[in-house]
Amino acid sequence: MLPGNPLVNALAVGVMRHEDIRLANASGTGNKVVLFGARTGGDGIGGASVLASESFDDSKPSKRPAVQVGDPFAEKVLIECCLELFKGSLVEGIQDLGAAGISCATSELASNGDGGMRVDLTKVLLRDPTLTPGEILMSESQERMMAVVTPEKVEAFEAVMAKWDVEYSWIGEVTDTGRLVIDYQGEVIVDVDPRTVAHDGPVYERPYARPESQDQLQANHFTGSPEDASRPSGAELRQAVLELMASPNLCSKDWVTSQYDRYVQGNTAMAMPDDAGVIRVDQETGLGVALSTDCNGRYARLDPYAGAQLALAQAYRNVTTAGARPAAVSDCLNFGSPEDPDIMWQFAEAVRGLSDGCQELGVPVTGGNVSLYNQTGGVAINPTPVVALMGVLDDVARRTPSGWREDGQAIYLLGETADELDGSEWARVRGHLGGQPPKVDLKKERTLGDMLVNMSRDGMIDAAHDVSEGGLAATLSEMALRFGVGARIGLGEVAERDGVDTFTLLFSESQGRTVVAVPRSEEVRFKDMCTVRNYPFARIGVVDAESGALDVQGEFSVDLEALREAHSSTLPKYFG
Amino acid sequence: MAQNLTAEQTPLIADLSQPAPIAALQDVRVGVVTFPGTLDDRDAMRAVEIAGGTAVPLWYADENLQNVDAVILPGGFSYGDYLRAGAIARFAPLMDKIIDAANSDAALPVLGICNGFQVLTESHLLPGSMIKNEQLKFICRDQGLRIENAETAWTARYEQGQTIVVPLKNQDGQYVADQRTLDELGAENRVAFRYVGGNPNGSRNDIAGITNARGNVVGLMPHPEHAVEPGFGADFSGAGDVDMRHGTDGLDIFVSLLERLTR
Repeated sequence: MLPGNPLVNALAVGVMRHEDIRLANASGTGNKVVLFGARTGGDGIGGASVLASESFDDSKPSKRPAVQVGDPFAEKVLIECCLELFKGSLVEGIQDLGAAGISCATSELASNGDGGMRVDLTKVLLRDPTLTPGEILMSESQERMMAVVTPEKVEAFEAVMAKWDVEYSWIGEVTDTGRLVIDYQGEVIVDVDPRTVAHDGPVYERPYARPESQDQLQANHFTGSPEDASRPSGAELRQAVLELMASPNLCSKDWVTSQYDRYVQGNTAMAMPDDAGVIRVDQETGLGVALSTDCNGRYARLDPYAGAQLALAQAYRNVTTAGARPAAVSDCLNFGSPEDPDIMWQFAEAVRGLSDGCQELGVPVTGGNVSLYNQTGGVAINPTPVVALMGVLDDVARRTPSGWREDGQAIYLLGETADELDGSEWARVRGHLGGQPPKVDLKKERTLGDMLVNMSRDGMIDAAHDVSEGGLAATLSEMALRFGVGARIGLGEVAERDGVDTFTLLFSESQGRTVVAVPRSEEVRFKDMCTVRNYPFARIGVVDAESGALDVQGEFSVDLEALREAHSSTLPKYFG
Repeated sequence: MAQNLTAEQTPLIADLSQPAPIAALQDVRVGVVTFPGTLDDRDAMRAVEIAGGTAVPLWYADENLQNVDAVILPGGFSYGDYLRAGAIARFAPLMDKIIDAANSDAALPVLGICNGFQVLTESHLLPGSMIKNEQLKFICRDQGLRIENAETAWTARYEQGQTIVVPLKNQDGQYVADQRTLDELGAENRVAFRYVGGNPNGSRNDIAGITNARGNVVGLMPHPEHAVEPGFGADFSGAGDVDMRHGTDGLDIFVSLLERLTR
């Protein structure tokens, strides 16, 4: 068994018109409260509190009963059913049942409304008749919704339930008492001010402090370390690139992504392996959104404040590289136990970093999620503040793919490279983690992002791919592999400009860099834009459709077949 | 001498990027059935509209085919694939009507895509069955197909032997049948589509799609409705290179049907 805690973060984005927003509040005395969808069962009782607050090790009993059992089919039916309710304006307020089940849904609906709510728990449909009232309140059974419906619309509501074969029960009504009252078998078991439950929760003041070992960690730079002893150069770089591109973090994820449907709904304008996923929202105008989720936990381990900003910078760069204007951020903050002051410090630093970064870039955080206690046997994960950034494209036809295709197009590198190998993927391949993560300059990222969006809109670039994990070596390899088209690259002048050796230029992970392919006819406009914005740019090569190789002249050449073989065989090797 | 033109006479700059809709095709009403758990109904409706026809949403629990001229059973996971893919949907009230109409003298054209193909085999409108892909995984990829029968209601616009590329995405896509059925399908030229460039799921005889003897009922596992619109289609085409997501080889499935019904 592999040690550690695998993280799975999922992001869902929906589309709606502003005027169609339905809020989670219970208003209007006499309106009915309905629970619909799956029946309430014994699964997931105390789920959120258990999973979010306990570490895993072999000595404790299994937490499996606390994990909810999902049913995608029931979920799909429930989603369509809810969309039909919204379309007919049949609900006044609605809320899904998540953490803490009915207790949370009733208190949140009631406290967001203007009155109170009275609910009879006996009326809840159960999968298991032996559940106690406490368990009914706390069950986190999935595929359930709670809604508030006016008496006049009860009949129409029930017709939609019948159409979709969804079970429901009327469990109470909105009152004017300002209290949340819950009955069970004729007895009042809850009588509270709902605000005290939903909003006035306890505030934790966890102690935190910068770990003493942090200085030592940050002083241990990769350059000059024993792991850096045999730094490859010249023709050895070929093997280094193949090794890098086969590493689990950089290898092709096709083995995973080909097990998901990227076509459904017919609006996918760009998908894996490009920098951002792009979905059309409006079929008439082509308006759409681009999404990217990013984080490098190794950077955050070296410096959680900078690590969170680096995650933000990378997501920002990916979305703008695809041609979209950044609009909003969501996040999933994955950390070890906050009861450990070292970890709590990581958490506090990452939150501070993300907050400062979003203010500087002018993108709001619309929501997010926290996942704590990610540790096994006392070993915590690297702090992993995953940032999801959404951008907007006026017309998704203008999105920029991550690979070049046209023979003879000029290849430019935007940005500069310094010796920033600490925390890099190359250092990981060599078994090293220490030093300072790459410097993040959000003002620069903003300038670069503006340029990329304008270049994409004005047709100045045909391909763009950001430079991140694996450095320029990974970017050039991925751009060539995207459509199987080679290139001739010359790095001598850039290396001299930046004062670094070829190895560093290829493997360092300096930020604020993107590689673009520019049609010959656009080179003048392109260079003008970079010059006006005072952003460093350098012509580093040309697309070569004949060669079938990535040829870094004077250093090494690797044919695309060997590169693809190295890039694509890692996950199948591990997982079959 | 130049004359001033009236507003109506002023020449407009024509937009030729869209093909002119043929009015007669718009009169063809193609029903698209939604079962609980259907996923690709909106896509199939869009494909019918892009081809120039009129798409009519049909609800599985209705008993009225609303005078449609043809029916598409789209992809998805009807009833969560519980029991067997398509096994429960087959008993939907609307399916009785569709089975009767497909078997009638009028020979209602019916296309089953992916889960729809599974519903057609469960309904015995088509022979054989689908089991899990041989690698036991869901697969999503662009798939090459050879048109083996260009005479059905849904394939007439293709050339016999033509290669097309459309997305394939399924978990239970391995076509199986007993040897006698496979022999019959071969002898009667009822294999409509065969996989080329690699059999993705272990289907017998590389079968991707089949037709009934009259050619009005066709089922296929890959998804032509996902390769109908430039910019949102497949990354490849059977005819050679295409721009990213500009593969629209699936469109002629729908145009074939519309043309057949307006002939």
